[in-house]
Amino acid sequence: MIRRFNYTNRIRIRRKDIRITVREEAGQIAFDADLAALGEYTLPPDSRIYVEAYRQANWMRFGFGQVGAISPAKNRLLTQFDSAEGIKFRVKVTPNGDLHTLLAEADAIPLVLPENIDAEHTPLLPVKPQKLGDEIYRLDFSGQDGRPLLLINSEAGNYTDIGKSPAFVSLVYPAIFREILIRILLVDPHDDDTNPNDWKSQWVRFATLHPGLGDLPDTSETDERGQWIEKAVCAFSKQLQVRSKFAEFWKEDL
Amino acid sequence: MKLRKLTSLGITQFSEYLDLLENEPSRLPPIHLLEDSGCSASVAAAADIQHRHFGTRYAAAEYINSVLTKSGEANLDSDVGMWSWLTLFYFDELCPKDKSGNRYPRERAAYIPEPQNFQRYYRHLLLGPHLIFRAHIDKPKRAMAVLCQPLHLIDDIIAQLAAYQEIVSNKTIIEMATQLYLDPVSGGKKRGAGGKGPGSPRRLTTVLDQFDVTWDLYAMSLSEFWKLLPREFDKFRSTT
Repeated sequence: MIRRFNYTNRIRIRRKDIRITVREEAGQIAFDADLAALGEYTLPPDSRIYVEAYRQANWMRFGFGQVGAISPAKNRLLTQFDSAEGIKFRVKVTPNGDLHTLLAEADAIPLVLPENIDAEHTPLLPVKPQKLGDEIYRLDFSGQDGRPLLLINSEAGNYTDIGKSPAFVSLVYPAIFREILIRILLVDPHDDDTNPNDWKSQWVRFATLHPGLGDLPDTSETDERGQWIEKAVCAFSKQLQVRSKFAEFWKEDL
Repeated sequence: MKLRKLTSLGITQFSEYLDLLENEPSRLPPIHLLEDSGCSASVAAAADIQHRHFGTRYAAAEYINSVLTKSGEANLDSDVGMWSWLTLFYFDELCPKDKSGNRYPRERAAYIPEPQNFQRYYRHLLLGPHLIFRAHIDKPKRAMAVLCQPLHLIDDIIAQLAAYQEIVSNKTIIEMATQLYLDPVSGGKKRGAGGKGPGSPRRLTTVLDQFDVTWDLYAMSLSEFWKLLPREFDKFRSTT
């Protein structure tokens, strides 16, 4: 991973503050961008806004007026792209004038397809009861897109009760989280957290939401990725209050 | 011959051939797949395509772009079957035989593209040049730094510059890279341009990545880049 130093006071615009949707216009793909949240950042009202669309070697740039007076380019046809699939966006804010410095930026913003607007509501880890012999649970990656499915032994008891029990939550969930991250980040290895329709990206994004992890190391930095996973599992366990849940069922016989 | 695409069965069989080639380097390519009705299918608006030897990535990209433009078909950039078919069609140049008649294939992404993988799409030996050529269609020769190479090679210039979307899609940066690393007399890369030392493409990506924190690189002119570049690049800039 190339490490960069940012002493520029450039503002990082949160991706969730930008919403970009695709539509069809005259048989071609076009986009709309909701940039209203830029007004919440401390930026000069006359600074310029640009939205860039990119994929592979293709790139297009559109003026969106100024922070204090957002004015989308009239023509927002994505003519350099033969389909909407995989297109990502950047939003850049630069000073008004000829100085090409960056005041603020958001990168790798995914395009939301109309048919995928509800994708965020798909559960990260679907659960299903199944006969598993002497095993209590198993992670199944054999589905069509490899999305993990948590199987709980249907002969061990009510699977929903087992899944919510303090013993299961405290002992199994951190192990599941670790197993999934190892598969995504070390076995695969995946490097994207921006595609809302890809289960691997959803899991990476879920992991990065935990505090104190820092940037995800590059795919070539295997050891660093391993350490990043351990930190993620630690933060996940803390958020889940695993230790107190463990104490709910564990009574030492003094 | 008419342009076609490999079906999923055809891609599987081509992939199996590449596996076998690892241990049997003299094995003949499965060119029968090109016209086998179960392993390949016609492209909707099929254009004529000819066997030829290109010599460079530029020549291949120029020809394929003309063929695909004539076909009038959209959505071909991500058509794994078509690019795999083209790879097999031009396999002799993409995976050439050595003097003993043996072929030594590169990684799979060089022959069967991964267009959705932003880290590996450019490594396909035909799709990579095609996308670069088309991104610079207004003046494709500005991208000669990453198009001048023989078709079967991914050298360090390509690996460094084409791997970064912000670089390969930036017309000014690509023009600068061509001025830095292309020998205008020979048409090939300058001596030392494939190294890892000062002024190399590897250093250029590192420097540009740092600039990217501060500057809107797509808005900058060539003269602005020249002013910003460290002196380590002077040795390539002056040897034109």
